[in-house]
Amino acid sequence: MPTHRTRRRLLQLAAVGAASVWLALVAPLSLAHRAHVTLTRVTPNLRSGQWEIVHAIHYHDALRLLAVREVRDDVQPASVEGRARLALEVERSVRWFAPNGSLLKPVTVGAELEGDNVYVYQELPAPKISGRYAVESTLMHDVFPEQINNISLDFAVPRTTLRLSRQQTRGEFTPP
Amino acid sequence: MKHTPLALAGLLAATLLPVVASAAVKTTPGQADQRFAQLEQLLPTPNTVRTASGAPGAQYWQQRADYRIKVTLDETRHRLKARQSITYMNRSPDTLSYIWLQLDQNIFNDNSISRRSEVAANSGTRRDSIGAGDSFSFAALRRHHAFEDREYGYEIGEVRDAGGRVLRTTLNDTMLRIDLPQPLRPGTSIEINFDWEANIVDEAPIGARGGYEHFADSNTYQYFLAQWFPRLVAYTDYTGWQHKQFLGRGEFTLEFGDYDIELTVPADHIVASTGVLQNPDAVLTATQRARLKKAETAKSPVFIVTPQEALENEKAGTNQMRTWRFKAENVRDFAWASSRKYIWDAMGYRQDDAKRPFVMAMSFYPNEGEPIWSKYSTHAVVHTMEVYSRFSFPYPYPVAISVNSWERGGMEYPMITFNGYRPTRDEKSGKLTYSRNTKYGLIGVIIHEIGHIYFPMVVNSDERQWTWMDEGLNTFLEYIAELEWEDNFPTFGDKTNVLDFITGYMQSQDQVPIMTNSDTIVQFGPNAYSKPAAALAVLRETVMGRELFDHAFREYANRWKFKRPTPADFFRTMEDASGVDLDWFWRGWFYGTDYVDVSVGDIRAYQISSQDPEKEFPLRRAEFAADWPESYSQRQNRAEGRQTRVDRYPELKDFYNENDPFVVNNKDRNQYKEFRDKLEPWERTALDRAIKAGEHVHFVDFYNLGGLVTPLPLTLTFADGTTEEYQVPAEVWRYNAEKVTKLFIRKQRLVSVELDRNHLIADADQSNNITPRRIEQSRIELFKGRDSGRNQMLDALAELKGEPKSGAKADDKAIPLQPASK
Repeated sequence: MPTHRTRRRLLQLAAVGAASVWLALVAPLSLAHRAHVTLTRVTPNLRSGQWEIVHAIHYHDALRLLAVREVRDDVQPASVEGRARLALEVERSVRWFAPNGSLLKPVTVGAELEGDNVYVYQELPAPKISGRYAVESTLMHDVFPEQINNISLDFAVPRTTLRLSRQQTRGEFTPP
Repeated sequence: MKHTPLALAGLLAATLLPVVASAAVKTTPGQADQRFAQLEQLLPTPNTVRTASGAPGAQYWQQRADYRIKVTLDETRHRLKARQSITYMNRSPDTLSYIWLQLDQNIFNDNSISRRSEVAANSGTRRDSIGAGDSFSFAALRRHHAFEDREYGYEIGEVRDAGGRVLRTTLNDTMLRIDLPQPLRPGTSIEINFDWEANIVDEAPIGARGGYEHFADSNTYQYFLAQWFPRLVAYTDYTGWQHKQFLGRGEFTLEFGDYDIELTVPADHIVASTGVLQNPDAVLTATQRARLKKAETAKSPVFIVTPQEALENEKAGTNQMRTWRFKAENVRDFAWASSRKYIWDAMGYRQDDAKRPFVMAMSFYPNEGEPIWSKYSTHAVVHTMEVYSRFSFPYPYPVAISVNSWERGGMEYPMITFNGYRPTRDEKSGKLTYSRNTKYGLIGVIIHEIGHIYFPMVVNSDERQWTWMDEGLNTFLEYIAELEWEDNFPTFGDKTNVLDFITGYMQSQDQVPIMTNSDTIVQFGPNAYSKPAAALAVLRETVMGRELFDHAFREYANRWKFKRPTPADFFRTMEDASGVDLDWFWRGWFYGTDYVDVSVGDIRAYQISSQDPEKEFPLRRAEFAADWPESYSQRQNRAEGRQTRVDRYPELKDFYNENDPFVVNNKDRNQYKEFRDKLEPWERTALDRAIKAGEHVHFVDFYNLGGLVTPLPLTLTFADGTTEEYQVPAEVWRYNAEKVTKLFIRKQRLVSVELDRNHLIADADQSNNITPRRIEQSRIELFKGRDSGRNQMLDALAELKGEPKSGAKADDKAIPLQPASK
């Protein structure tokens, strides 16, 4: 005979099952209305001497990403662990290169959920070497085939936005 | 910013009312008038014991208890066995039919209120369990086993009076009532005698202020015995017998008295203790005595027992016992430490005091504490006495001791303190290393605990009731001492300024007023330590100024040294000795949970108008032109060479084409004359003088967003780049504590007003402290400013990456739990 604890677990599973059916019927229609786009802004902060890198990921896309990674149910963008996992995902998927090809490693400052987006914050000491820098992004390419990752470079005049996709994962830019 | 002539009537009105309240005076609790209400209802009525000035009254009294104890340390069984005698003197005006003993070791008994009232979240240990919901840590499991293995608490024999009569006793948790055969009348005394035994607590798993520590690598021990013997409960004018049971957090207050203590310990032990050693010839070698003599005049610490000697000594072991005898005068407690592991260093401290010109500063520590203990400990002891004595009174005892008794944290007793922080051994290289946190933590904790010898070991406030009275005052002086140790001493985490550190706590939701009883305080550290320290820092540097504050604080310390102050005595003395009404300050900082956040609003700038059209109209023309520049289209037309109709047909011009609205006519001149004629002579004089001086009149708004009323230290910046520091007293808020408008009349035009440039008032949001506003912080800067969220995130990242979180201990790991089987 199942204990109370076991019964409650069975009930939860039943509820999840029902939700899955609903998602299977409805989700493709609703997903089709929104392009899967992330926006990364790179802004130099003269006070701190850092490039401030802010990645904005739509909440629903972040939710989907965590689901694909098969994390626990309670690990959501609203939870600290969920945001931490998204930050690690960004660390792995968005990579920065110096003119000599060496990998630059931004430091993750944190992440927060605000409005529709999860914001992942990184800082990178403003590079001192002049030349052509590069950024590669494969963020969520395995989740949404049509994923676009926009990298907006606030220090460029006029402001430049690199539009990276599965077809073109790498872009280059020259800081002033 | 508008620069507009101001109507004279308005100016005069504004001059007469420098602070313009924008709303009616509030009468609801917590509003303006309440924030400045006097504290009469909250403070006890003054009497002949405690006066309205905050000083002890003509009929001040306190009890006294003298102790004689012979105690033996059984190292094999980790147990104390003692014969104890107490002489209790009733100096109160009351007749007592019973007296109470305080049995702090009973807190570790399985049936104590403290243990039975533990909640799952912390299992009663100072090392919190981990995780939310049903979780159980290895630390909690070890603690459970420690309690299961041994029984703790006193085993007390019959209590007898001096004549040998057995006295009736009643045990109530951590207190023992002794019924007296005859009531103890005022001015009389009674002697009681009893034997007792108690197991010494294994401190590491259980968490205690005293106990023994086992060093697994060398299988050696040290014993630090605190709150180890039955002590007379304090009987006071403000609460009668102190009837708050010992629950673990609220420390204690006791009676002053003389102690004669014989400590019988293994013969190879070195003993550190409250008091003066009475038999050095019997327990110290000739070399050790000679080194002690040398240390009296040394400029740096001298080893009495060297590290090498201590290392050799701890290897040997002995079955022989030796008795160390100590006497201590006028102390409110007695503590000691004993081990064959101790390195011992000492350095004399000389002070300008006829009664106590010389103090011996000493440190006792195992080799595990090296190399930082021999470098810093005794210097920190001496530094503390140098600084604290300036703010209170000369150090009153013959010795000041720091013992390395545990891994971190500290605890204070008269003349002796137990302090933590040790280097750690790197697992790979085997080298001893210590972090920045360990170094400054060690110096800080020693300053703090030695500081406690002043507060509350001499200024005998009651920590069981009001933790802040010693922890808060002491943290404040610790902060001052640390600032004098070296520049940028990291007193509060990564921050040097307590006023920058405290704002996060003061904005938090789950806080209680400082004036909360010790055992019910939430967020204990910031509430009882940092917030009172911040409050006193604001008082000293901003509200009162150093001269008034230091005098009043010293007065408090000297009035109440070797006496028993209450909060009202502190509040009243600080006001009485400084001549500053601080009731609003105590009410806001100590009885409330508001925080400081003032926003600087608009600056509205004016100049006084002479009303003379010959002077004013040209000014108005220029200002009009500046405010309303020629239209872009008109300029473009001219640039294109397009002529207006009037240009092409000059005959269309008339009077108005030659005279703009700012041309002075006779009507204007007549009006001006009429205005001057109607002025009283003194009004004309004032007006002419102001105009000649070219004074600028500014109205500046301030909004109190945090609720706590505060002085406003302002930096005024003028058009020519010069600045002026100007402090608005907190009383500016007395009519309206939410918004005030302040008037500034200056020769120069004001271009910027900045509040709290020097971080003097614990303002929680610096971004709204300047008008015009500075560039906004970036999203990342704002996020980093929210420390709690950021730290949680960094901890989570570290966990996911498999990096150890800072400060995490191995035994904090969670034990996997599964549902219990039926």
